[in-house]
Amino acid sequence: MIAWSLTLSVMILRSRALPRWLGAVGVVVSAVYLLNQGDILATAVPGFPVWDLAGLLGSAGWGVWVAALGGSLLLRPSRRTAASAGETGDIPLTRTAVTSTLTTE
Amino acid sequence: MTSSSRLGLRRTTGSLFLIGALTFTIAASVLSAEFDWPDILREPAAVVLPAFSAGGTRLVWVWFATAWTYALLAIPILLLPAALGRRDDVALRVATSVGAASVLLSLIGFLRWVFVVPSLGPMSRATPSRRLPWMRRGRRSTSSAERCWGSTWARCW
Repeated sequence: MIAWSLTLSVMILRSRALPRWLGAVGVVVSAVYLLNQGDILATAVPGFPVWDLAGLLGSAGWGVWVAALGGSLLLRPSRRTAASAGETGDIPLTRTAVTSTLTTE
Repeated sequence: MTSSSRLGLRRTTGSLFLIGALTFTIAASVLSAEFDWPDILREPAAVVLPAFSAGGTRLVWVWFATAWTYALLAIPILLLPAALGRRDDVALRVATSVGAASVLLSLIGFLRWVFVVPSLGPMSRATPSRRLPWMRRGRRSTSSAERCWGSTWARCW
């Protein structure tokens, strides 16, 4: 799951398909969540370094990030969607506004 | 895919991410309050199994709810590449497969507490001479799980 969120976050940062802050937060949250694996490894490898807060911060942060991902999808139309909608005339106001601005100038 | 259908897909995907995150948080919080999960998993079986038995049927239902609210996340994970219009992104496709498989394996892990662990609770309190009947009961539970999930996944389990 961490691999999924990390890959998605990097994709967001590179493509800007979603807000960049979401990608940056996703990278941080994934890294913290990854540190929680030390807690699991410590059960099999005595003395393995454990950061106790990694579980709480990582899982809580990851949950909030997933919710934020959902909110971003709901609130922000994608650039590709907006562009294709504009080309097909689904958002006529955008072109009308640009045209009228150009005309008046 | 038309722009209107893609917008609908984005809304569906976004809603499912939100609902999945919120419902899993609620279920996991209840599980943590009632069973000290996940910290109790670091304790020996002699501590965990009696605590599980003490939770009764309600605790089994809490595990059930935790499992399926987490499993809900698999749907938006699978929908996301199409919702973003990036089905041709190889890295995202691989990550999507890994993420969905991870959710499935977690679901199986959670459901062990619903189908398998309840039969282990009495066994943990039994003397060695009395373990055989409960071990048989545990075997029956595994068989019902096999019927539920199919023999392949049950073997992995």
